[in-house]
Amino acid sequence: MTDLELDAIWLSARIACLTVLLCLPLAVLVASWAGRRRGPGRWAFDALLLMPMCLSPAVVGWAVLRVFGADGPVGAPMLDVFGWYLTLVPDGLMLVAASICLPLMIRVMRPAFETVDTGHVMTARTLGASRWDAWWHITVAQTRPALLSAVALGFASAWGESGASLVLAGALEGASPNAQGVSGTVPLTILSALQTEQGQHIGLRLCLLSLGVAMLASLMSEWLYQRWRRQALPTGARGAAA
Amino acid sequence: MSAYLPGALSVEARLLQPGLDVQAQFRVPPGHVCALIGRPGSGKSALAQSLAGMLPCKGGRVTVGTDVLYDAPTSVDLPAHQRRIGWVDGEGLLFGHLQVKDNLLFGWKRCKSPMAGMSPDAVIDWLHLRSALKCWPDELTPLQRQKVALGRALLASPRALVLNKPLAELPQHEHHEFLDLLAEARQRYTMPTVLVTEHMDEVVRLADEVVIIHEGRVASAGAVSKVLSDVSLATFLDGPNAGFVLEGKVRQHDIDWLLTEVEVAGQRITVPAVLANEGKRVRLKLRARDANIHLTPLKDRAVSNELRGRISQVMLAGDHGSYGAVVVTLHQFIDAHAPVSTEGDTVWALLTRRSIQQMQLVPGMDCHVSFKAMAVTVSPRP
Repeated sequence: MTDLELDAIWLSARIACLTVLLCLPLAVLVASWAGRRRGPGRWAFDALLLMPMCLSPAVVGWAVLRVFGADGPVGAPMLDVFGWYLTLVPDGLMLVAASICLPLMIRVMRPAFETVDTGHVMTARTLGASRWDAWWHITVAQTRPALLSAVALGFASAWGESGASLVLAGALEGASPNAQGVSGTVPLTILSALQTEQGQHIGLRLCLLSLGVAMLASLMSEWLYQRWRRQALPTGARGAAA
Repeated sequence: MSAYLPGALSVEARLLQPGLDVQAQFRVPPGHVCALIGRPGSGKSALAQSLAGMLPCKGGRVTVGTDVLYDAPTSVDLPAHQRRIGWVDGEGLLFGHLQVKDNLLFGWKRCKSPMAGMSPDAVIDWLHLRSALKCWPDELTPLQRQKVALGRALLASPRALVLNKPLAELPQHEHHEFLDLLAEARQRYTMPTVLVTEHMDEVVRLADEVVIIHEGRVASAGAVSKVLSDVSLATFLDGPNAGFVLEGKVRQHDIDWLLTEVEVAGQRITVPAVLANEGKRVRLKLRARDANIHLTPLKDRAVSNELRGRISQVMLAGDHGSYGAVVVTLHQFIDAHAPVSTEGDTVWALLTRRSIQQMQLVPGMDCHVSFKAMAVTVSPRP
C-alpha cells in the first residue's frame, strides 16, 4: 500500500468515526422525540428530516457551502464570534457526511422508539425512576440494538460519502480534488486514481477495501436489527417469529 | 426501623377520559384490600392509573397516611416516581432487556428508604424465584412473570399497592396459586391495596371492601358480602352467572370424604374440603342459578344442602326482566332449633318466571333453599 492509500484510509476512518460519534446523541434525541405520539403535523417534520437523503449530493454540498460558508447564515456569525471558518478537512467533510448520516440514522432508529411500550416506561416511573432515568434505562436500553444498527449503517454512509464532498472540495480548495497535496477520503481518492493510467491498481485496491467496509457494516447493521426485532416485536407481529 | 409507617390511602379523584367523566371517592385502611369493580370501560383502570400518577387528575385529593400525593386546591401533583405506589399489572410488563434479577431490583435500587423487613433475598425466596434469577422474562411461565411483577413492585417499598387485573394473562389453573400469594402479600406487608378487576373470584378471595364503578361514578360501595349479595348489582355485573357471598365458620372436617361442614346463620351445610382450621371464618360463593327454592323440606337430606329462611323479595332480573330472582333472608339459629328473627344473611336464587308463578312465591313465605355441595366455592376469609 502506498502512503496515498494509507492517508486516504486514515482520513476516511477518522471522518466517519467522528461524524457518527457527533451524530449519535443528536440522532437518538431526535428519533426518540419523533417516535412519540404527537400532533397531526408530525409527518411533515418527519418528511423534512428525510429530505437530505433524497436530494442530489451536489445540492447537499452546495447547501453546506451556502449555510456554513463565510457569508452563510451560520458561517458568518461563527466567524465573528469564534473565528471559525469552513475548511475541507475535517469540518467540511464531516458536515456533508453528517447531512447524509444523520437522516439515515434517525430513520433506522425511529421504528425502534415507536415500538417501546409506554406501559414499561410508566411501570419504571412507579418504581421510582425519574423521567430521564426511565428514558435512559428503559426507552434507550430497549432500543439499544437498533441504535447500534443505525451506528453501523451511519458509519458506512459517512465512509462512502463522495458526491457532496466532491462539490465541497472543488469549491473550497479552488482546484480539482486530484491536485497534488490535497488529501482525499477513500472515495475521492478512488475517483482521482481511476483517472490516471498508473492509478488503476490503487483504485482497485481501495474499491475492494470499500466493498469490505460496506459488507461488514451492512451485515453488522442487519444482525443488530434482527436482535432488536426478536426482543421488541410482539409475538403476533408479521415477521416476529424468526 | 425506617421512617416507614403504614398509612391509609384516601382517594377523592376526578379525571376526564375520552367520553367519560370519572369521579370517585374511597378510602383503604392499611392492610385492607379494596376492589374496584365494574364493566369494561367504566373508568376503573383510569382511576387506578391516576392514583399511580400515570394519568393526570382534574381535581380532588389523593393521600397516603399524611403524605399528600395530589391536591388540586394547593396544586400539589407529585410525579409518578415520587408517589411510591406499586403497580402490578396483569400483563406483567417485565422489562424484556433485563434479566429477572435486574427486573426485581429495579425499584429496590432506586428506593432510598426501604420498608422495615424488606430485603431482596426474603422476597426472592418467598416467591421461589431463586432458580430463575438469570432468566430473561420471555423464558418464564406466565405465573413466574406475575411473581416477578409482584416482587418487583414490593421491593420498591411502596406506600400503597395497585393490582390491575392481576390474573388477566394467567391460565385458569394457576389463578389459585397466585391469589394465594397475593393474599399472603397483604399479610406480610401491611399496606393499602387497590384491586382492579372484572372477576368476582378475585374479589371474594382477596377483598375486604368493594367499590362498584359504573360509567365513571361510584354505584355502590361497602363490605364484600353486603355489596356482592345485592341482587341488582350482582346481576348487573355478572348476568346469569351472578351469585351471592356468605360468611361462615368451619365446624368440622370429614377426612374420609374430604368434606367440610360450615355453619352459616346457625345452620349447617356441607361443602368440599377447605384448608382452614375448625372455628375459622370462611367465605362461600354460590351462583344464584345453582340454588333452588322449595316450600317443603327435602325428603333426602343427604342429597343436598338446605338452608331455611323466609322470602323477603321477589323481583325480575336479567336484561329485560327475562327471569326472576327470589331473595331469602335466612333464619338465624342460635340454638339447635330455635329460630330468631334478626337481620340475617340473605341468599337468592334465579328462577324462571314460570316456576315463580307455579309455586306462587310471595314475600313472607317460609321456604327452603337447596344446593349441591359442589356448587359452592369456599375460600379462607382474608
